[in-house]
Amino acid sequence: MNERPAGPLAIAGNGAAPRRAAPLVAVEDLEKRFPLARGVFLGGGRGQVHAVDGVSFDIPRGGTLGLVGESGCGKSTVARLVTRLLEPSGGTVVYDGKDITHRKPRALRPLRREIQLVFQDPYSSLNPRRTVGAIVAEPLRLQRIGTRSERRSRVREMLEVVGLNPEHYNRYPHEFSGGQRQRIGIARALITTPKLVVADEPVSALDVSIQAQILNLLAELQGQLGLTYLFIAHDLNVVRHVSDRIAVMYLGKIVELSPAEELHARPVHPYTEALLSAVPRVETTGRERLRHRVVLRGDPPSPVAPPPGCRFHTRCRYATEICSAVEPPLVDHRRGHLAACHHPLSTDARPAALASRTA
Amino acid sequence: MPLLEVRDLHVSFETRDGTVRAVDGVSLAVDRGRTLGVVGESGSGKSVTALTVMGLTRLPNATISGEVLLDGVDLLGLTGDDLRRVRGKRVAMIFQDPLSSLHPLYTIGWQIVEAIQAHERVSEKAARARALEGLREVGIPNAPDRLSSYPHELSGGMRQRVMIAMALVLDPEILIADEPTTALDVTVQAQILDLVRELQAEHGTAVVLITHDLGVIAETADEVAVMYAGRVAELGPLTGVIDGAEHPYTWGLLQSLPSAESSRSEPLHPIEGSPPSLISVPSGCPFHPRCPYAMEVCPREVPGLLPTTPGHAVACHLPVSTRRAIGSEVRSQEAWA
Repeated sequence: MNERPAGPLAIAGNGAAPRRAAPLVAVEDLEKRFPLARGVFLGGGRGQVHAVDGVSFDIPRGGTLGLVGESGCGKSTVARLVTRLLEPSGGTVVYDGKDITHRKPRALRPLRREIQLVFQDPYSSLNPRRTVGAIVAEPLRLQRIGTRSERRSRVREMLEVVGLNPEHYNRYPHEFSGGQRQRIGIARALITTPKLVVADEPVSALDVSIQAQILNLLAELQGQLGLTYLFIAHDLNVVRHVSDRIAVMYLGKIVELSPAEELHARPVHPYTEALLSAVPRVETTGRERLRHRVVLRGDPPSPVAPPPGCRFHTRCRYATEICSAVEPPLVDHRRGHLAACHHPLSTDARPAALASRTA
Repeated sequence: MPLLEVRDLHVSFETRDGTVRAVDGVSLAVDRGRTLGVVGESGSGKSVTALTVMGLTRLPNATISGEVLLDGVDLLGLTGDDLRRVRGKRVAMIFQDPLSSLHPLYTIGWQIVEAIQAHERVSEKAARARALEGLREVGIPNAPDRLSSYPHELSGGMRQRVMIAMALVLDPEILIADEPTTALDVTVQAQILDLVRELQAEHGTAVVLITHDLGVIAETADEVAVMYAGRVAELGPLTGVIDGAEHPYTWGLLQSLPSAESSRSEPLHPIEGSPPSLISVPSGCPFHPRCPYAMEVCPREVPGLLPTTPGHAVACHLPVSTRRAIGSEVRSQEAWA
């Protein structure tokens, strides 16, 4: 059984009355298993990858949940499940009060207006043979919204909103730089006035100076249009800059879920600690800091055969016997700061564990 | 005399769309046992500079001028066997993507042995023993088994370790690493950077580390070159360039980064516009169209890379006093100061 904290996952801080408004997205115990197709030997090594294994979170309206983790942790699969590009193998996805977990494609269509995606690679996500105008108008056309000329004027408006010249309507993607292409992708996502935008690594293919432009644009648009974001990235500083709350994933599970600043200031899970300390920073004390850095041993294990107990125990410097035997539940350590660990690094819940660990 | 010195290097390529001026007057140097970090965005010329040092840009449509001096010998003048004796043996290189740098159809062991035998007359058995030792040195578990593994059987981090083992097995004087950790996860990146540092300390290798990530530079480099549009904008010791940055482009890079301390409510400070096309590089200072401090002279004259303090040189028309004043203001706004 999946243990969940008693209280709602409200944003910590004022601590008083938790928000009662229903979240825009509520994901409960989400699971996705992919069968392993082993070449022509179909009967042979049949197994499955448990890409997402019991993930639960809410995203309040107008809020941003950041999802971080390394390659293969399942974060992109979560994006595809929430947007229902994939059908979950278990659990539920509730969007705006409606259970959309197993909706058929036809029934999902109206929702496609409200749920949009922004992709990582602005080169492969735009059709090179279509004009920018046609690319951005595509969702309107598919949804049969407006007449041709109405669509055209809407596209021009949208290009302006994302900081592109509306006169470039008839140009092709190759005439634009990477940052401009990402703006085109954002315009396409926003043209149907969605409520939820799922951005999967939207800035990781861009140069740093351009990254900052796109992050600012996304923040501005959220304020203007009241958007709700699920923001997926591997760069913790980027995620911290855009998110209200951050979920850290490891091998298909959320290991820590916390308000963004709190996660950086006081990580509870040793994996989060290691991730944070591995991010290279621009500080004079860089070399000084190296001495205190937690460098994880080895690579993440294969999700085909995850380790028993706590999945992180094979790389964790605090691991003890219990870690390889019992899977730690995701519990609240401090007013909405959740973590799944037998040896939490800092907690209000079990200070004794902390003392014994550091001894 | 520095171990490797690049002097006034120019590299351009004729293409259907026009002449691409990829490297336009670059001068750099690195000493034994030191790390030169080269940082810049896509199209800044950092990779073409490295490839030219290795003699890998000698294409029919390329024009190369300047000098690349290794211990005083100009590598640009070497050909055939003379070049081959240097490349791989005295100067080794590792690339961003280890999967496309390794041959998919040969075992790891075969590929390392081939690299050794290309440069030294040793028996297959002796070469294999050295390959094994190399894999152990870069921390590959079960090294004897791994000799007979194929690249696809290894993870990205392990493949990059294999590349490093292959590059270092001939004990080169210089290791050029072009974005060696960009394709890797942060925790694995930390492992690889640590490994390079350890091996460098052990062997006294000079390292040229090319990256777009200022954080990686801050943790590894002794000297830093900031490149923009095929030129060096700022060059100097790490602390000088990161903490005492005097070029507006360097300020822009530093301010663009979301830091661990920056507040969410504050917007980031991006550099406006985008990097120029190398076919039509802006006149004068190539950064002037994006520079908030551009003056009348900037579009007219190319600024020289001039010393500001010993060892620290900046290519900018702003008076030194103005640069320092703005620089310290920029630093005080930023959490990284």
